[in-house]
Amino acid sequence: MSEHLPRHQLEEILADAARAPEHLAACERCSERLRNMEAARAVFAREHSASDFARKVMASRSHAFARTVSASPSQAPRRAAASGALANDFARKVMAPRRGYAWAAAFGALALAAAASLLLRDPEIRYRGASVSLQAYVQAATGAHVVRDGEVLASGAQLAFAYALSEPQHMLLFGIDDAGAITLYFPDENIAHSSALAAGAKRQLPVGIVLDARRGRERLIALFSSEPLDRDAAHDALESAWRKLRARGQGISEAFELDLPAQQISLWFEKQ
Amino acid sequence: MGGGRLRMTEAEVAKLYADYGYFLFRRCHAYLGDPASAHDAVQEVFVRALGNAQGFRGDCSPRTWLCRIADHLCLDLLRRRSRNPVRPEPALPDMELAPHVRADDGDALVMARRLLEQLEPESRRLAVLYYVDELTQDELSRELGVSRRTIGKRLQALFARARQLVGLEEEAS
Repeated sequence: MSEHLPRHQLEEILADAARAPEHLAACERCSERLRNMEAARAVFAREHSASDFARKVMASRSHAFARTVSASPSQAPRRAAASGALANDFARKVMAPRRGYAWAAAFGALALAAAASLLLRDPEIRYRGASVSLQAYVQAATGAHVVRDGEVLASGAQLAFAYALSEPQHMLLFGIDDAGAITLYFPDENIAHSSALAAGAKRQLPVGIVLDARRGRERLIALFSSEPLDRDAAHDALESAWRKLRARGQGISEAFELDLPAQQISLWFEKQ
Repeated sequence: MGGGRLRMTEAEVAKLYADYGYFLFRRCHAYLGDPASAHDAVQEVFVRALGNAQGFRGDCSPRTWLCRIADHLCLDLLRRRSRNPVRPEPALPDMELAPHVRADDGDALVMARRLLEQLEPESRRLAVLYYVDELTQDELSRELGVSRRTIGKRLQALFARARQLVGLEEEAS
């Protein structure tokens, strides 16, 4: 397929089941890929205890597995939880409210979703700049769909975000409500420390949002930049923009742009 | 853990999971499309491995052994699903992987999953071996026990399907 090391070989190397060939030391691409795989595996390992897993496996040798896994996807999480299987420990942790915000970051339990065809549609949130895109999805009774500007969303609704980047970017995702309260949703110190996002097509932001009970309008603003933005400066710029809006008698539903060296994508919605 | 017969003690299960759990999860997720099923599948892979530890004789790596179990398990599950269709749950399974694959290369996985949704069960393993494991045609031939020429034809069909799906200009190696 190429002169580079295939993934299965890199997996063996990571598991110390194969010796690293000379190519690895000489190839920056393969080395970086190995580091990325190792980092991803480390994240997974932190969230899924090997000893807990082994204990469950040893205890469930006679477990009738087919009953849990052959279920429909919509049933699987509930069944897995009921059976004590390893279903989304991560999700339960991050779904809890944090830092006093009524919003909670959420990812794993956002069984949010959209048909693959959604990925190929023109996004509903549009961006200035061809290489950056972001979509927000909400889980509704009829399924998941892309959130439209000005959409009315119910309390408790779960939002997830998908991004596509032609090159690595840093991103800050803020929310500001119609009272001027600003929240930085991404990066999140409990989930993702870094604002860096890898290039790629349609990846999910490792932070989601569960809407609280407060009614009113809120705008989400994503700032993409090649270099990390100062979070305090971005916060101040957003605050300043809010004050200007208010001075003009406008609300959060009015589009505005921050005076920052960043591509900006924004969306507002109303919570009911 | 590298060779010989596996003694599947709890500690060794934990070690195997630490070494390969993420990769198996990623693989099962590619097949099954949702994280909960993938986690359950990984658990079942180990349950089956535990029950058949004597069957592992070191003629392949533990990873290969576990992946084969995972492949057979997932294909069985997919066949079962196809016989008992359920209303499709909208899903962005590749995105649900984000916490673990955000630093990993998820694009091939996305491609594999899109293809998997379109393929017959017998072609699905080829897609996983090619897109997820990145096996060469020679390796595919050995793993699947068919001629390289047959592999070439099957891959051409995969590429054609891929081009239809996302317009990729895939080239056979």
